[in-house]
Amino acid sequence: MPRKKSNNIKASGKTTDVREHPLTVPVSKKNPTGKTIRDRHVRRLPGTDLDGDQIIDLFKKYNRKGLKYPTTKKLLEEYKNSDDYDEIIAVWIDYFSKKFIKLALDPNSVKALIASESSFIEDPKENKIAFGITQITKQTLKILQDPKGEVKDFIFKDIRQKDLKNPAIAIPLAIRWLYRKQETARSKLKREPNHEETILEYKGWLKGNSALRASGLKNYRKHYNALKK
Amino acid sequence: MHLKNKVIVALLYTFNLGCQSAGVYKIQTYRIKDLDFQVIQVSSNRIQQKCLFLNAEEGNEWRHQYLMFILSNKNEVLEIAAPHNTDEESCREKIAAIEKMLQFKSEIRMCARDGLKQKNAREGSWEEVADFGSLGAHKVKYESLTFDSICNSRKCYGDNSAYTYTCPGFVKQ
Repeated sequence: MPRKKSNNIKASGKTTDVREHPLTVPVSKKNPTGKTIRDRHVRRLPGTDLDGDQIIDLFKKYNRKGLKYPTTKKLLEEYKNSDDYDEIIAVWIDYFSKKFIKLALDPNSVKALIASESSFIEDPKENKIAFGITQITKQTLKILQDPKGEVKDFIFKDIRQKDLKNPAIAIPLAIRWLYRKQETARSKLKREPNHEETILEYKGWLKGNSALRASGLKNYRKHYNALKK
Repeated sequence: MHLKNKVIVALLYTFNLGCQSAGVYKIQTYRIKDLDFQVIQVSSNRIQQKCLFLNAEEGNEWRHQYLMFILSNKNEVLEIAAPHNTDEESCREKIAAIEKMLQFKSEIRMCARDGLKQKNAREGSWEEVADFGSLGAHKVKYESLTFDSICNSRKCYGDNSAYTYTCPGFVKQ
């Protein structure tokens, strides 16, 4: 159904400026008429943010045609759950590559990243700073939901730290963050980063010393190479 | 102290050091499907632990790497790394839990994942050298193995729940 356009909205970039307008609210002592005036405010344009319910709903209804999946069965001998998240990876890589009109991330790269960050454990206990299968920190979660922050062109909303225990939420957040890390890596390197450089940027080691980069990438590389065999 | 007593004390001290340095070290390699596993039986004094701070950028300054070093009977060091980075507090908790096990029994058995490969000059381990106190400082000779679990005669420590297989004789959680 076409969205009804309000004549008091002025479009600009990813947000709209909504003028002061009347609003119907539940009848209460404060508002016995059930009417109030909503002050002028900013509203994001549709398609530039997602909350938890929308993430789940969008995944369910997403057109699977032409999706690129990570390689299956290659890590099963090592991790019993390793193929369980392939569909989530495929859907969200496709969604964000179309959203940002960018070359899609390699699905095997995301799968190898998850192996190196959490061994596909949905809620790793041995970390009090980073959470969930993709080990997203509180700080990153805040950035991913900041309408004025570095990822303001597409943000998430109302995602709580405990929601990161759910891979259906944690994986799309990590993929959106990886697309951002691809941009920051490009800016630092002044050229297109390869998949290892994007992962190094996700882990914060792109500008680290070479020994740290080599050791830090060993686990990721082992899994990526296994998936590519 | 009389000379005779001094000699006895010296002999006892030497004997004690001798016992310490000899210690136990046995390693057995197993292959399950396409995966390699190492079962290592070793004296507690041949084990060192460390939390390595990985000085990363931006929101990643939390990353610490848990490392265990094992001194072989040929004075070669094996490095065993936890599979994931953790925050410092969690890493220290791991060291404390394993230290408690090492203090309780003088010998432990542990399961490490991956094959034993000599490391090359540029990469393969997090650290170059490990210091074993009275047993000396020695070079890390092999590529880092992955920590699975460690057991003394009473209990085991380690989360291997994500894996499909573990070492023979070890319990899969």
